[in-house]
Amino acid sequence: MFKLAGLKKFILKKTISTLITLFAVITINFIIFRVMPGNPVHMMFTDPRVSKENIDVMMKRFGLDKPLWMQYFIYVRELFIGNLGISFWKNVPVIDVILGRLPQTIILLSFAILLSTVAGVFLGAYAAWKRGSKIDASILTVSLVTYSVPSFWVGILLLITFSYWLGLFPLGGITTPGIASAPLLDQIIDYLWHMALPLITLFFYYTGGYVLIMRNAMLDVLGEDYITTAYAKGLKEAVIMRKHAMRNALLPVATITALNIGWMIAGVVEVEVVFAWPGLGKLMYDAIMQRDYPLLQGVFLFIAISVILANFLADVIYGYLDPRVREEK
Amino acid sequence: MLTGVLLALLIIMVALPNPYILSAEEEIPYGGTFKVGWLESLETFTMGQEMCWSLMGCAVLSTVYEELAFMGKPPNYDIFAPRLAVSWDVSEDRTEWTFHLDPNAKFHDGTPVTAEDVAFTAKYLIKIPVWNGTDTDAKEVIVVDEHTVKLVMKQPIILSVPLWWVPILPKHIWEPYKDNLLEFKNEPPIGSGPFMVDEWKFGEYIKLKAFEDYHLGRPYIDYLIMKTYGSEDALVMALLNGEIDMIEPCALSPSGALQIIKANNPNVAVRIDPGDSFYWLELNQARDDPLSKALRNVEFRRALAHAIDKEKIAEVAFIGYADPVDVPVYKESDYYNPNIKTYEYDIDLANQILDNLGYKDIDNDGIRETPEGQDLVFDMLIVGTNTYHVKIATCIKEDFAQIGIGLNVHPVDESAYWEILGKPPAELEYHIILFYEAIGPDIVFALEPLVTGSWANFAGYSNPEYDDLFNKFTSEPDHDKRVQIVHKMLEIISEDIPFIYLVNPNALTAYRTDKFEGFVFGVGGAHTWFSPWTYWEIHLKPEVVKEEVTPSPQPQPTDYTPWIIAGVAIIIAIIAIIVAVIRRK
Repeated sequence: MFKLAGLKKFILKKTISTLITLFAVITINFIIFRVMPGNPVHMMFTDPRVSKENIDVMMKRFGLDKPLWMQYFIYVRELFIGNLGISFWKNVPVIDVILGRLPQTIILLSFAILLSTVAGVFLGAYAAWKRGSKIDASILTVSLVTYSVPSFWVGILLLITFSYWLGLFPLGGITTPGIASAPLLDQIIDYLWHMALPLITLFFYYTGGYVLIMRNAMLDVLGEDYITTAYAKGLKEAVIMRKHAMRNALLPVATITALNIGWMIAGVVEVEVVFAWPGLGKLMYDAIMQRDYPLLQGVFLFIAISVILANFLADVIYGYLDPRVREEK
Repeated sequence: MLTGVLLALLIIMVALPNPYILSAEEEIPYGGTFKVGWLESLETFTMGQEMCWSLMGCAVLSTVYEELAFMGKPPNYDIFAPRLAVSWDVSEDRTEWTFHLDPNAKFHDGTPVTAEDVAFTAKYLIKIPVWNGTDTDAKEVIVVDEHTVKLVMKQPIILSVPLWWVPILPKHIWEPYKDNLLEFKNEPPIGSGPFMVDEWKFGEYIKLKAFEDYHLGRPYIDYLIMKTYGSEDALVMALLNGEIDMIEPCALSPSGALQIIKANNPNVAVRIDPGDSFYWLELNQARDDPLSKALRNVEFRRALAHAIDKEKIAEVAFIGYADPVDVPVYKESDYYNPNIKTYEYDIDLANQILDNLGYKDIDNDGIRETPEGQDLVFDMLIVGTNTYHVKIATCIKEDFAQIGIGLNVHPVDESAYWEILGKPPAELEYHIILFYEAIGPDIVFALEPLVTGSWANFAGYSNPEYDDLFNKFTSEPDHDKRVQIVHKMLEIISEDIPFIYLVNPNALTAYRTDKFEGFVFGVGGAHTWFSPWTYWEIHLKPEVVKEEVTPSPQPQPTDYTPWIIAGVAIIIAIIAIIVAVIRRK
């Protein structure tokens, strides 16, 4: 009972601080696009031949003719009803554009995170278990390399090798034109075929990170007294590794995974751009190229909210898994 | 009996349209899928900025929709080609235009195109700012009969045809949204153009299909696919391995073109055409300071022109894929005047002119001074996010250093650049502005910036004789007389040199030569917003049709089924292991 009350209080505290952060982010997101040099309408109409009347019409359409405080008020009010404004360039509601792209990013990243977490945890644990051996050195080196090399570079190398030279995979996109009329199974296979290279690129990148974290956590755990005790009790190595060491070492991995979910949208920009994968990352890139401020503002907000919520989730999970965290508060 | 059946079959076979049959008159074969690689993508079919201003939007408009008439086939840009209108009559003052529509024209849903559709478009689409311009703004729209419509324009239209770049919308579809056409999603777009939208995935590709009932005759190809790639590298690879047949010219940079040429693929060619844009320097004479005073002296401006090595700019900024220019007119055009004054790159001459004018380096710091004693260091405005701007500015800075003139380059963001240039020249903080404009073949865009008070005259240049000639030019319907006027205007530009024209970057079209022919090249390459002719006229090579009567097979993803099954099996195995581990706890 006491434990649960402690957890509730902890969650309440975290919720309040998350809400404050969210509000700050919303405000910064508004300000950032207003203090930037240049007027967004000048970007919309880079052609100075556009008449003043037409510029005024556009200013009115996007609410840019109102004073700044009024724009802020309208912005916050509209946010609460899920209205992120209208894209300058596409002339459709920003929320529609974002929601249209979101599934592609979620699918790609869910696969990448799922596969790399599993692979990273096992490889990291194994490397730590075999500390100092050749296997450990190999896993560590490969992980350091895959974690450090830029993902767009890996992506381009994979494209050159597997798409251009070997002709095994497509050079970009998520579907082959014309596949929509094929049976569902063919469509799914076509989708997976297109996803293979971006997925491998992300897999390399994320797995490297997970291996390094898991290996470090494992090494810490392996030095603990209860591991020595377990040995003294005469338990089998595999049991010690699985039941005593790995479970405790998973704690930081859980946190990192939760945080990664938040960052994943921002983190896939490079991969999505290289493989023309039409997800949120590519959308952000295009919005920057076209100076589509409302869209950019929407994407930024979306990413910021994901990161904040993921942080909140990580805090709660950690608080739940490790009672010391909430008791300290 | 058997003979009768065979004969009947034969007649049916002949009567049926065969997509791969050779047309008897022109020997041009029908069929094939022409695939074009792009870097940009479309996200909407609404009639807003993206459709109107993005190049892919323009590509959809000029293929799926139709205008009344369109800019002529290169190089005859000013002979407008009939599209929906078979002919038109113009009043003496060129404000009243009567268009006679083709009675056979139909929209893709089978509804005939009538004068009502044109009237609807001219009344409602033009209300949206992006569609509003001098040549689209009608004071009055009169439906004369089912296939005749009269537009009374607010201003005389001399050099083009009203609404020439505006798609005619089907009234029966758009009418419910007439008060705000932007609210209509327009999916799929129904137009009356040579292609209909077959399939689309926003952000990925748009697949168009030949419209069989197109009133000017269906296009030769069956399908046109515009596919978006993630990078120029991917585009180049896609072209080299035959995944696409052409790289959209706007997506190919000089370095990309060089990459393709180096690959030495016998089935791939890179065609070089004049680009649709010009770079130039505007020398601000309007400021009230000694530096602007120097710029007001024509001899001083000439010295600057002699000091700029345009060949070097073409080489450094565009890897050689740019032509040095003296005026904003293509040498191939009859508007070009070969007798204009040109300024050869000559540092000694430039130094000599400056010495003679009395601009000397008195304090020996390597920078000349004005007679008032101020260092000749100019402030130059460029767009910092445009790498070409940065490279050009660097070249010019080096050149000017050789004649004892300093240059403070101020790179700013593009929106800030436009905001700064919104001020009158006298209030601008900059003496030199690096300017870029996609002029295209429309000569007005080239000549207008030098008119007193014009939208792009940041030099504060004013020459009544030039202004007068410009007005004569825009009201002169006779082409030959217009050419004479432009020749005179170019003489003035080159004598007065208020702007120093630098380079015209080339348009680069990379395309495969093994399957298709009928590319229409011109200013801007094989395809631009003002020249969609390649898309309209491209066709399979007759020898390709003879070799393969079926379209080349797409790489089949099903070949990799075992890989995918293996992948799924691994995932299942991993999940099973996790479940097993958890259950054991």
